[in-house]
Amino acid sequence: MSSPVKLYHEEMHRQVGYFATWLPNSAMALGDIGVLEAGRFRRVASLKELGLKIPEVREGAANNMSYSASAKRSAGASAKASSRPLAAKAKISIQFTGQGGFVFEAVGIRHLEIADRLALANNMLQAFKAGRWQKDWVLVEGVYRASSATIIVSEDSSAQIELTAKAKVALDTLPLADPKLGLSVSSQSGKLFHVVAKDKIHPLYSCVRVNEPFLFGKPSVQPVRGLGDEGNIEALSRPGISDLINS
Amino acid sequence: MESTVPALAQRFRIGRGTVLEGEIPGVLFPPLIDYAGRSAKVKCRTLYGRRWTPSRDIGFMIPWSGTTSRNLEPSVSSSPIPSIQTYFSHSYRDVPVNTYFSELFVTAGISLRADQKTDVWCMAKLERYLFEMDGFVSIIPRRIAPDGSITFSPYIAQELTLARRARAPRVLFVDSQVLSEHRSRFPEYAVPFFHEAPDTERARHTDVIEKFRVKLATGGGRPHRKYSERQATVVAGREPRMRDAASHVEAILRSENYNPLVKYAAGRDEAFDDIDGFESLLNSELCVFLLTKELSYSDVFLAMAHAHCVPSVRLRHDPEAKSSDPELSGTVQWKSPDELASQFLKVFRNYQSAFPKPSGKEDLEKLATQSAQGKEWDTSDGPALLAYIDPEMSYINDVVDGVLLEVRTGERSRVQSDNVCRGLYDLVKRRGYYYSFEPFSLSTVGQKVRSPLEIDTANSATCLDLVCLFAALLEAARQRPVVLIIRANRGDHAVAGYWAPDAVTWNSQPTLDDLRGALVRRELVLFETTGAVEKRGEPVAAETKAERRKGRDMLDYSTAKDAAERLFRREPVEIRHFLDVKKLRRR
Repeated sequence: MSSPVKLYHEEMHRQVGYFATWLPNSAMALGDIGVLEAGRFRRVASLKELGLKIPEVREGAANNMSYSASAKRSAGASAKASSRPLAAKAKISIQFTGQGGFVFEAVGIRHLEIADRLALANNMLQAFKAGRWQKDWVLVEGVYRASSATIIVSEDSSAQIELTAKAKVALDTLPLADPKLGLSVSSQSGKLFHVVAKDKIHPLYSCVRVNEPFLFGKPSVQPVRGLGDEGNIEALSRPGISDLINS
Repeated sequence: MESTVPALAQRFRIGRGTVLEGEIPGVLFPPLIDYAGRSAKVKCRTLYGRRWTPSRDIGFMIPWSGTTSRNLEPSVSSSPIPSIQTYFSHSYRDVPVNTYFSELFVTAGISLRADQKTDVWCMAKLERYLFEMDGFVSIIPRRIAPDGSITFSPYIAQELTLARRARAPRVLFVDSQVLSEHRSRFPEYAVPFFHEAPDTERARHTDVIEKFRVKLATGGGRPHRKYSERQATVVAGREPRMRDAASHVEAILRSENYNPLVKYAAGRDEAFDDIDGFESLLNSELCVFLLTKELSYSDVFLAMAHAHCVPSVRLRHDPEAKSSDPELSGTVQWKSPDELASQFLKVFRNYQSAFPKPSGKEDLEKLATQSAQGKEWDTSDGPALLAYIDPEMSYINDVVDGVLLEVRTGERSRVQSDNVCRGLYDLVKRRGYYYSFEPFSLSTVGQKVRSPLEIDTANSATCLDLVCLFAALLEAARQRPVVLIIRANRGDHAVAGYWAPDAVTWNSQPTLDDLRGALVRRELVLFETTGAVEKRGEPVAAETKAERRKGRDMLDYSTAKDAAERLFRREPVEIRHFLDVKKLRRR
């Protein structure tokens, strides 16, 4: 079954190089093990549960992200700029024009990844050899964690949502993910998913799987040479975006 | 139309769109040319109604009343423009500067003839054509030496020396900074040009060229050399080795339908007073001098031929010679009779080749492209490109060893891989190659790909040659090279790159979005390989003119990476071929 939010997956992967978590507020952590189904990551285990050591984690700097596609925004009259006094309740309306159309805004978003992939590859291979790792499992080896995020995704070809801010600020001065806005959904139509100013979510991830040669059904394990572990990294492979969308 | 009067040998230069009005009596009105030397179509009102003048090659007759038209340039309105041919001494890689000057010369009615770039430096050919041309035109651009100083090509300088020795009428344009820093190396009549915008001094250049043209057109040209075609004089010493060498040369000349006359120089009096020998040199189309390591009487004859600029092949026997490639003076060193024969034949064949007449930027670019190089790759067969990536060549390994010694090695990491790639890139940059078209191929499905040695010999490469070179270098340096051939708006282009050591890739061919994602994650690094060679004028791919200018017509490594990423991430781009070199080898 293919993902109903194909555009969202494709665009985010194109922009960021990561898979979009679906549903965006689903629990996700480094070291999670699962399968890809209908555009989602379904957790089945974790490295810890399998008794595998979690290698060192590398963390990036925080910044803000903002992407959208097939989404038309219009501010409510009371939220327009400067010549009129700010109303207590500024509004913004978003009209989606396609399935998977989306608005993605995140503040304080950081990248986290497993730093030592070579050690990771070794661990996974050992687990596979021991019969503890399934062929179709993927491992989450990188995530983006947001302090706060507003993600709205349309699951049908036309949907609409209206957001209202509590704060006395113009809606075009702060990101939609900023908690200071105090945004809430005041109305919606059509099939939509939304998280508004949700904190500590993991809206993006990357994953790897054990590489399996087509002919032999067993994973390839490159011999470990004295000078480098390059062989082991090639024992892993990455699912492509089409693998996710068509899962 | 009637033809009642003889043809005039005059041409008139007029502006485009000029209308010649008036009744025109019967005159063969020759084809008209516009400011750029191209055929101009002009409407003429004649007794037979309004009609267009024809193309250059046809000509036709219209009645002409003698009234002049509007826009006719007074300075050239009535002066005849004879056909003037000059030898064009220039640097192949500087296409924009060459294009600028060649247009000025063509407009002035001076034809430029140039030597097709080959891997053989043949002094005899140059000596011959200096006599067969009316004059000599030299454009000397700058070169940047490894230490960053401004210099110029020794070969172009040698051609100028040749022209001065031949006392050929000449005009010389030199990059202003080169002229300033090397004043004593150039004659006083050298005219400067600003390398970034040579047309800044267009008026002055045009004036100089016009004076040169007038001089050549009014009898100031050098008389053409008189000689017997296919007669060759071979001069050698009497010792057995030289006599044998002379026999080899004589046999080769006869096989090429030349009439060789062998002269053995044995004594000082013979050398200086042998008037028959001297006249034979002057009368021959070509002379061949078989010399020894020490000065001999053959060198005396060579000096005579040299002073008169008689086309001469110089073959010097030296048992310790390290290379048999022609030196700047044209001398070819040889150690054995076999080497003598093969080298002489190579130079002689080059001598016999004619050289073309460039009439525009495309011709100049073709001249700069060495012919008969490269093996052909079927452009529809991506994996077949692997055959052109050879990391086992000793040349490649020597280069890589040198770089790895300089780069800090240690644990495999992204930083280390980038340092290695940067080291290889900077080394290729230091070689001073330039960007050129691929070698000509009649095939409609293939493109010739130069090997690393051919790139080094030709001093030039295309993007495809360079990605194969860099892929071989990276593979030999134990990285994971990739080659990407994409189709963008302006055509197909090749970029190279590598996977980070911890990059996890796909089992199937990645899509464009997969690769873009890998770029964002910094698992894939791409760089614009043509940034490591000189390219003047228009950018090759997504780099900007400003970036090239900043890098003195090249790109530094970081900018090369930015340019490749920019090309790859902008729409619309289509992947034609993606080669993960290491994976392909394992198949």
